[in-house]
Amino acid sequence: MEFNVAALSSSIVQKQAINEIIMCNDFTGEYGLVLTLEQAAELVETRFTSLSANGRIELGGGVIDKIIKEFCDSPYITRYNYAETLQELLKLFYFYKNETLDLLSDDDLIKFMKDSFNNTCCGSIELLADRELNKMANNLRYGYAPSYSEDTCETHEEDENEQY
Amino acid sequence: MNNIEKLIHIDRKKLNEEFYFRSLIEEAASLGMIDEEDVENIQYQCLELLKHRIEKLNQGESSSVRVEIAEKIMISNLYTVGIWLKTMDNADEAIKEIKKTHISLIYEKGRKRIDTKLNSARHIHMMVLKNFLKTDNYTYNATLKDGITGFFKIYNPDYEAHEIRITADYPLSIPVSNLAGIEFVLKYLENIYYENMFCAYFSSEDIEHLMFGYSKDYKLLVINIYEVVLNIAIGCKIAGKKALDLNIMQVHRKIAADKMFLKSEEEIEKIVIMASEELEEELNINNIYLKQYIKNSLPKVISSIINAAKLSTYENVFISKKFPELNRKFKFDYGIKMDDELYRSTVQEITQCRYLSDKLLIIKRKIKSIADMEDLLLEDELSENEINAVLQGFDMIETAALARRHDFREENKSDLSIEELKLRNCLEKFITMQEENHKKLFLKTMDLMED
Repeated sequence: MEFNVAALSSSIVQKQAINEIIMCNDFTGEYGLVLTLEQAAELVETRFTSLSANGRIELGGGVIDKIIKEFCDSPYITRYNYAETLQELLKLFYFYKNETLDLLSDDDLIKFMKDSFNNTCCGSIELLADRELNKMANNLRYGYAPSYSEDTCETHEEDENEQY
Repeated sequence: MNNIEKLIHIDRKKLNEEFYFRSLIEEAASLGMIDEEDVENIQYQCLELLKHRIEKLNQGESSSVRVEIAEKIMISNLYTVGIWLKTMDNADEAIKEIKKTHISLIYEKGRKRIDTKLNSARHIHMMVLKNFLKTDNYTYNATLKDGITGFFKIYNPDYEAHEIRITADYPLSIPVSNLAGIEFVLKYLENIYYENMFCAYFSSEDIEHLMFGYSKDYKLLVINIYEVVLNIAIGCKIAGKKALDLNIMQVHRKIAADKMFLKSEEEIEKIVIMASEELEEELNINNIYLKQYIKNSLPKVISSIINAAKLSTYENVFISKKFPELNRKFKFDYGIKMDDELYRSTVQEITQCRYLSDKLLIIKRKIKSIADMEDLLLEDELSENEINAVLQGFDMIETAALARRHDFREENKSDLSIEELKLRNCLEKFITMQEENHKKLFLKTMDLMED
């Protein structure tokens, strides 16, 4: 009898996940964002490959619906780049789950991604991955707060010096 | 007609006690007691349980975990489920339980059972500590005191129920195999309890002397004490003497050897079994579990005696006691070294002397400790003749103490300095020049000194 967790979870959870994604269309339809069954299946496939590439497993629907609901009102997502952006975000999510040593909860990581994507990155996935998330993961690994920045510290120090 | 036995399909002996649940399902599937649909259903339930346990672990903050963590939790879950299924009357009943009860409910029952086993283990550990053997054997003390106590501190029945996370280094006469987690520790402690119970029939001094007879380094050896004691006790009975003092001597070995002379393996086995019965009678052993433990230990004793009979090496099985207090070593006080500056000026004074007699006079007057004397002899300021003259002024103990530190009997001399070699050479010459009796005394004194 097979009890290989990764293999078991992928086969049983896959069907369930597609349904959950399609159900999100009701919510995202308001923003003109809708995923087809094929795109939902592709998203689930991306989730599966990202999970196995990062040595993780996910039971249940997972975070796809959370990411969809959080990002659907982003000014940088349109129906033309919706599915593609979701795939990239999903890959980044699982990669940085490992990179942050699981120190950040799902909700906090998604929120950080959304804030950075909408503000400092102006909708650029590259900037989000290589600058913001990378910096945040480094901060967590070295025991700093996720948003800690050496630049802001230096500026503060300079301000203080100027006051004297 | 009253004894109609139920037909049981699954043979419990075929199942793996460590991975009970998995082997049970596999065996049931191979016998056709459950079909593919049942297996899938069980797998799904296990996955649901895993999901629930992971959610509890990360308090719902993360929907995904690393594969290795999930696999460990899955093994732990299945182990816990197996713990409950083992309580069923037979394996067929266990399959019925799986079919009618959700895996999560079986898990909960198993989890409670682990708590009960944990309490039992704590209780047995307390009893083990009560009849703890007074021995200097490191592994015995470290495993049974610190090791097991450590297990109770770090055992995690929720997520690592199948692990013990300590190394039970002290070997048992009947090793625990095919068990994991709390079941392993419980069985290990049970066995130790009976071993201690048996050893408690003898005085701890006798056991200590016996172990010293086994090896003078027994404190550091990873050996089972009960097995050595049982061997000797049975040896005493074979030799027709009382076993209580564990004292077996050459004459007793001779009697035992005569009894087993030209005997077949079966006959030797009978002799040993009879001796063990006599032993139980002499010690008045009534505990049936201890009797059973001794009985289960006998095959090892029998095979070692058969080997000894074949090779005529009874002295390796029926070991005589040795008394470490007779070989106790003594410590030589090398004295306190003088102040560095004073030492330097003394050495300078000695080297400036032209005649040996003057040198010896200064040495006698100014060097008061063997520690300083040792430094001086290693200075390379004195010739071999002068060193010999200095050694003539020492008493026997002092020379032996110096020779102990600079042992000329050591074979590997490649790393030694020229000064060291010179001193060793002088000491060797000095000691070998002595009369034979005197020389033996020198060497014996050297051996009796602590490093």
